[in-house]
Amino acid sequence: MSGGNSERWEAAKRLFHRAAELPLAERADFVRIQGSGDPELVREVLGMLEGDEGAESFLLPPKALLGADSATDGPSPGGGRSFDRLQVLAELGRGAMGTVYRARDLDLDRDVALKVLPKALALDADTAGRFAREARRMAQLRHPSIVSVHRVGSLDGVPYIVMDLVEGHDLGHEIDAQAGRGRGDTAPPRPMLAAHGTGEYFAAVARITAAIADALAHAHGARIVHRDVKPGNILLGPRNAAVLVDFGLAREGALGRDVGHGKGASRPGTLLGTVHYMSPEQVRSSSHTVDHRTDVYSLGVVLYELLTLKRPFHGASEFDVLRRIVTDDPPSPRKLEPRVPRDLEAVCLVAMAKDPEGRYPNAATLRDDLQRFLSHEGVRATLPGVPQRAAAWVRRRRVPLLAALALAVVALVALAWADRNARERQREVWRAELERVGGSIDWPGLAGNFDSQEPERDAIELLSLLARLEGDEPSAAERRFWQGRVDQVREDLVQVGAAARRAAAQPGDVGTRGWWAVRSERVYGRTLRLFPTETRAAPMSVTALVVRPGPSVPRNLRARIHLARVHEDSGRLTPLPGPSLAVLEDATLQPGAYRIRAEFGNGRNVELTRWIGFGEQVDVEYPYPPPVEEVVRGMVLIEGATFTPDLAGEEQHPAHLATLSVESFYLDATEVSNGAYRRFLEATGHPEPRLWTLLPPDQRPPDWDRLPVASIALDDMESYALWAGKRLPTIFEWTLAARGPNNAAWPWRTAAAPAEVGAVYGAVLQPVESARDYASQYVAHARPVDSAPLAATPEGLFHMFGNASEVTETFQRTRRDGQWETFPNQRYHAGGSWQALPSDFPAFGTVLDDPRGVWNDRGFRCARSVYADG
Amino acid sequence: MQTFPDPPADELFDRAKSGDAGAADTLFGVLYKDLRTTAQRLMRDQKKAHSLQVTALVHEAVLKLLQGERERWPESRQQLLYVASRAMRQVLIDHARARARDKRSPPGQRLLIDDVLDEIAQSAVDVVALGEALDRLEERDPNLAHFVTLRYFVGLSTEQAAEQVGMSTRTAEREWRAARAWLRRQLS
Repeated sequence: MSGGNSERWEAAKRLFHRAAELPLAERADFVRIQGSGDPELVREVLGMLEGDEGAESFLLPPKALLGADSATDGPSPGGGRSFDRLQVLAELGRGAMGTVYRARDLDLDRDVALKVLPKALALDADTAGRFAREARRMAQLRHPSIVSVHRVGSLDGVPYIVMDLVEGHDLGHEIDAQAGRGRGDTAPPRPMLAAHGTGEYFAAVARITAAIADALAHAHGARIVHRDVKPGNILLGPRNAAVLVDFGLAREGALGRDVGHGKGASRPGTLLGTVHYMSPEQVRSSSHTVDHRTDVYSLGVVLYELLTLKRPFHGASEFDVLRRIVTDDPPSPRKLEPRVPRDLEAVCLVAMAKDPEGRYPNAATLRDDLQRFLSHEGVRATLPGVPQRAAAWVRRRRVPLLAALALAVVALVALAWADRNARERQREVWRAELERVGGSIDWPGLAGNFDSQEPERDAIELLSLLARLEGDEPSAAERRFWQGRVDQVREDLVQVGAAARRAAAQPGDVGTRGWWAVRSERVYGRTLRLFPTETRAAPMSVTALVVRPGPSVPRNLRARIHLARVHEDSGRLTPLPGPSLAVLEDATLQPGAYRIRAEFGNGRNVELTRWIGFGEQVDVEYPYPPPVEEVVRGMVLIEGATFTPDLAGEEQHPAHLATLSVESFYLDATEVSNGAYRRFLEATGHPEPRLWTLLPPDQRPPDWDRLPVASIALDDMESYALWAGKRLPTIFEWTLAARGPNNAAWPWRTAAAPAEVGAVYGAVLQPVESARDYASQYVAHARPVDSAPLAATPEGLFHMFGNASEVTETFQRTRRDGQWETFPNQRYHAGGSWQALPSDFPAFGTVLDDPRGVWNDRGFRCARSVYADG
Repeated sequence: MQTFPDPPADELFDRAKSGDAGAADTLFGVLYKDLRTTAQRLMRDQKKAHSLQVTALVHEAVLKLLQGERERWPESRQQLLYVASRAMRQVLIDHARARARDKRSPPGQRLLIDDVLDEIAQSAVDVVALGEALDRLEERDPNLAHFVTLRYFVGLSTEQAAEQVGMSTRTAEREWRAARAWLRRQLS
């Protein structure tokens, strides 16, 4: 048998399966007869049969990989065992969520189906919980086409469900039967429906699909989405009555407002469902938040398979299938099977529309259209040749529905998968964000719970996303939906704010949490407020930037606030009109990065950079900085320059080979050391870095105070800088300082290799396995911040390459289809660390992804602008 | 301790694919968490002490995955398990090769991987040869090869593995039998 010939392999498997069912002595002859004329096939199959003998224990998964007894399947009611007035008769089938047995109900003297959760799974609280939920949900549903649950119980701690037994087989078997496909070696089962291709068959198919659509409509009405509609989950009983089973993956709340509570119902990253019947949005969604229309799609696929006896998407692998579900149009059913009625084809393809908006808006509409087909009326679905018309129809019908679903969270799913134009792609990203944020908000928890800032932050993020979407012409339906949602949040927020204000001892003393309702009370003294121009959208009215003095600022001093827009691609500052308070209040403020500076007039200045998003509240409290002479001690004045940085590549940052102007600035000669950071902690009571808590003082090396501080988060760095009267450098400043205006290869500006000048880099590390590794790596590799003078820049900046990687204030820019986008939570860090490779220099290679993350090789050094008064 | 956020993994894949080391870094965390969850589920009944070893095995697999060719980056979470299971298989086989070269077990902590390999050796399976046979099986039947990998190298049950490759349990049991028969023949 030639390798890669999958047809021959399939033939070999088929023959093997058939032979394997025969008595041992007959197998070889059977193969020789069946395979006569193909000696290679015969050899192959005989070989397999030989391999099969005594193979029971071959390739059992290593026990070390398994739980002690997770391989065994639970209490195994076993033949003949009886409990709970049930006599277990035979195993009917197994699925991921349990084994189904035929059992005798001894009270009612009839056979029932008994579904038992595998014991290994029962030990998992999540799974057991899901099983129990499935049972409860199914018990709620009473519908002729949904299997009815008799009772739920538990045996030795293992839950089970007693259900109606459906005598017959599932649609998967029926499809195989109609296609004459045996499963493996067994003869094809006997079909229950009329022969495929006949009018009678197609009518039966329409009836079955309509019945299941009706069942789904009923489930959806109870806010239950099945999420795993497939032929194997539809049983064909006596008189061809179809029954939907297995709500194991069903998820509550996908239709309702309790989305927040629906979280965790399925583990993210766990692939649920059978791939062939997954809807495009199920495939694309990373969180599996899909609405009821996923069931409409999957039922469409079932219909497709019933009509053609083939699945719509095939692929070399499961992943290939998933990809095609998202990108390919299914072959038209009539092309595969010309006898398929035109109307049924149209119904099928509308149900299977890629975009949920293009589908039947709900299962009931699908059912109605099938019934129209059965009563020989024209269906509403238009032929697939005119997809726009089909979509338009659905959309018209959808409008009243939308109103009914005003509270529904529509899963606006997105993933950059296929090629789309930039605008579409951008919108998709935002939509995905909307979905993520919208789905993560604890909506009911919003009102009346202002102890937690989390929901508020999420709500604000949602508002800002909405604003972005609005600017980008989302569909009217989308806008209406989210607008409705947001209006509700805004009302909640106002209530919370009012409650906060009432609870506050003094007006204006409500802390940041009550801000949405107290903004007028905030305009006092040195408080500064800014509003974006785009206040047209209601949500925007909650936007503000508040800058106020912290407790260290002497009461008799009044700072002037300067505000400048930071150009994201060059770090250039564009001052906003100011500094008088009155002017600033009317100022135009676009979302973006801003440098905020408090000028005390006595030579002291303090500055910081903040990102202000749409609809966002930014609260800034500034301290009273040390005198300038003290601030710049230990800093090096880097002369401003106009230069053309040669960055790692044009994909990395728009500043690559652009002409940049950087003003003169001060930069710390060294990375901030543990000693310097300790002084900050002593002065402010700021918490210790994680690394310090892991290493008690007696385990620290003698030069500890001179080692670069690491293992602190962006917030900590910014707090330190603010306290010291400094800020983080921009990536542009940092690059200029490290390489000079002429793009020198190395900070030391000679051709010497890093090793020759004593640069600290190149430590090859095992992955961090434990807190101990985390600390010991640092101790083993970090070097004093003022060491390796040969590796310093001519201006006297130490360790610009290696030692600790240095975080800058510059927000990450990422290119998406030719457009640059800012990630306000992500900053560039530069210079590489003791783990760096030479290729990590100069900069722009790496991004600080998590503002709260702490790495054992990431530190910082500070910068300070040069001002006219100091 | 490194901390990892949970940004949209798909976006990370995109960025990591285009060579963004920072994204790869974060992705590592996301994948690692996923895989560890899987591993912990697999280890459900084992003693606590063991879980660090599973972590180590998974960790190695993730590193393998991250160091792999760029084209092999998973395009979605669905692909994750595929790539990760392949990585685990590769890790085991590489380790077995290394052990064959140097008969003494490596110094320091004894990893789960050694337990696994010892057990495989006891069952008289040549894991290196098995890997090669699986490569050949993959050429003719990639889905089945994936199934075998999930079943044998990741330790999923027949049901779980069947679910992942989109087979019914019944079909999977048959296919598993055919695969075992064929592989056993290949190894004999």
